[in-house]
Parts: sequence; C-alpha cells; structure tokens
Amino acid sequence: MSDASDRSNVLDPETIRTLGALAPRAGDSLLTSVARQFASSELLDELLAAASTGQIEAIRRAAHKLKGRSSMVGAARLAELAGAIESSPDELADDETRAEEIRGEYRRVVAALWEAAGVRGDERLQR
Amino acid sequence: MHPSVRILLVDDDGLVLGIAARALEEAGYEILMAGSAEEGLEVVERCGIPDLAVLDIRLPRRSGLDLGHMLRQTSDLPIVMLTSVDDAATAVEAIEGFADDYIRKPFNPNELAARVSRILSRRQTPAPDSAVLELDDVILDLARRRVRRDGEWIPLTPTEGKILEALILNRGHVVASSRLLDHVWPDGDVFEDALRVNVHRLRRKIELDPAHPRYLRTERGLGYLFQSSSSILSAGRHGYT
Repeated sequence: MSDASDRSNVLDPETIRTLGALAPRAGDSLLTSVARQFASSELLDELLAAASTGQIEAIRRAAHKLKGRSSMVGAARLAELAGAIESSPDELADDETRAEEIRGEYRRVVAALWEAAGVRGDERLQR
Repeated sequence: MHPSVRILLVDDDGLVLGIAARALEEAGYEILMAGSAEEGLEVVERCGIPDLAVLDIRLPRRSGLDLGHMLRQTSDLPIVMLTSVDDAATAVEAIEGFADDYIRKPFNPNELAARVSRILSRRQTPAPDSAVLELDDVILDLARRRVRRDGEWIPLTPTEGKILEALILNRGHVVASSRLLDHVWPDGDVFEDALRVNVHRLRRKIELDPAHPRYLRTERGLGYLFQSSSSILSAGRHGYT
C-alpha cells in the first residue's frame, strides 16, 4: 500500500488538501505547523494523566479539545475515540486498553501529518 | 487585499487559531489573536475595536457568548461564532443576541474566509450618492463609510461612520461626548470608554500621526472637535467610485 493510501486511512484527504493549499508563512507550510503542534502537544498526556487519577471533569475537557483538534485536521478515528471519551469520561479512568488505543491512534495521526507536510523523519526533530 | 480591515480571533486552541488566521490572512485581512475572553478584551482596549470578531464559545473562565454580548454593548461590529457547540438553542441565543453568523467546528477555512468576506461586504454596501470631504492627505467618504489614504480605500465601521459624520457636520465646533453618545448609541447604555475606543480607531484610519491628531481633536472635559476648512464635495463630480 502507498504512503498516501496509508495516510488516507488516518486523515481525510480532502481536509489535508485544503490545509495544504493555504499559503506558507515564513517558509513554514500550514501542515508543517499543524504537525508540529500535534507532535509537541501535551493534550494526550493531560488526558491520560487525568484518567490515571480519575479526574472526570479534566478528562472531559481534554477529550473535548482533542476531538476538536482531530476533527480540524480530518483525523476522524481519533476524533471518534476522543468524542466517546468526552461522552463517558468515567469509562476511560478504568480502561487501559482504551487508553492504549487512543495513544496508538494519536501516534498514527502525528506521523501522517508529518508525512502530509512532506517532512522526513530526520527533519522532524528540527522543526 | 483589505487594507487595515482587522479581525479579532478568539479561541483557546492554538491549532484552530493558526488555521483560521492563515485562511483569513490569505484573504487579505489583518488578524488580532487572543486565547481567552479576557485577552480578547485586552486586545480591543489596546488596538481599538476591530472590524469583525470571530469568537469560540467554550473559552476558559468567561465564555465567548459573554464576550460577544460585551462587544455588542460597545460596538456594532459584526460577530461570527466559531464553535464546537452544536445545539440549536445556543446558536439561536447567539444569533438573536448579537451574532451575525454561527459556524460549527470542524470548519473549512476557505468557507470561514468567504463568510467573513460576505459579512464585511454587506456592511460596506456603498450608498448611491455619496458626499465626500477632501482633506490634504485623506478623502472621507461619509455615505459609503470609507476613507482614502495612500491610494487605498479603508472601510469605516458603522459606529466610526456615525461619529465622523456627527463631527464633520459640526466641524470647527466642539461636540459634547454626551451628544455623541446619544447620536451613536441612542438606545444603549454605553459609557464614554466605548466612544474613546472608537475615536482612537478613527484616528488610526484618518490621521497620519494618530498620537498628534490634526483633524480629530479631543477637547478635554468637553468632547471632540473636527478641525478642517475643507468643504463637502459631490462624489459624482470627482469620480470617487
């Protein structure tokens, strides 16, 4: 399967095309900026930390934000997982399998965003 | 390009801010960003009332709905809600209260720019027979609510237009702040701060050196004065279209 095909399983191609078409600023494409923000975001850590200590309202808040971000970049599966947690935040508190599932999907989204931005693995640390 | 058309974007998610800002900048607007309602109010205090505001609802501490109501009390700037709150009751509350549009997240950035552009162009619909005032370095087109400077037309908000109109009609005479408040906000319980903010913005548009205004003068403790010996000219004769 091609890289583009792998990516389209994680990110909506139309959304990526729209974001990719917006003009770069200071030599940085919007997709690079979005990938960087996803990669460096502490949102997933906040969500999982809140889950490990059973802070229901903090889980709901972080899940809501993660759902919004994921939807904006066309990461439908991640948005769906975050949306389910937002609806039933108490379930994440006792469910390590679910936490692992969202962690894995988040990693896939970050990798797909870097890929869509055309930034290679060895360049990502510098961005 | 839309010279000097400034849009205030308020959202607590940097990623959303970045995407919306990039789309609106590409459409030629100047963007002022804030991560909370409080920060949004600080931006308005510092930079003056923008030409349009795009507000998220779920902000930390004070909500975007509160911010929208506050902005509406002091100005008639167009307000667009950009939010993940998708229940109809909230949308109706915002639209009935103050909002000109309600866009749900996730949004298409190009659609956001198109909607903003549409709202702004409706607000700036030119009047058929405009009267203009030609000064040394600027042209004030009252009926079309715009100012020409350095070869570019800069739009005025309706509030700015009303203030300028009242001052120009009384040019050479001090207009009391209370009279201006009654003229601009006849139904509103609005304070002088709102007037000051709008005058500050007007100066940025019509004065070459806003810190030392040549035309729009403050008469401390009394009100404002428009100082100019120029006369009103007909738009048709001078071809300002």
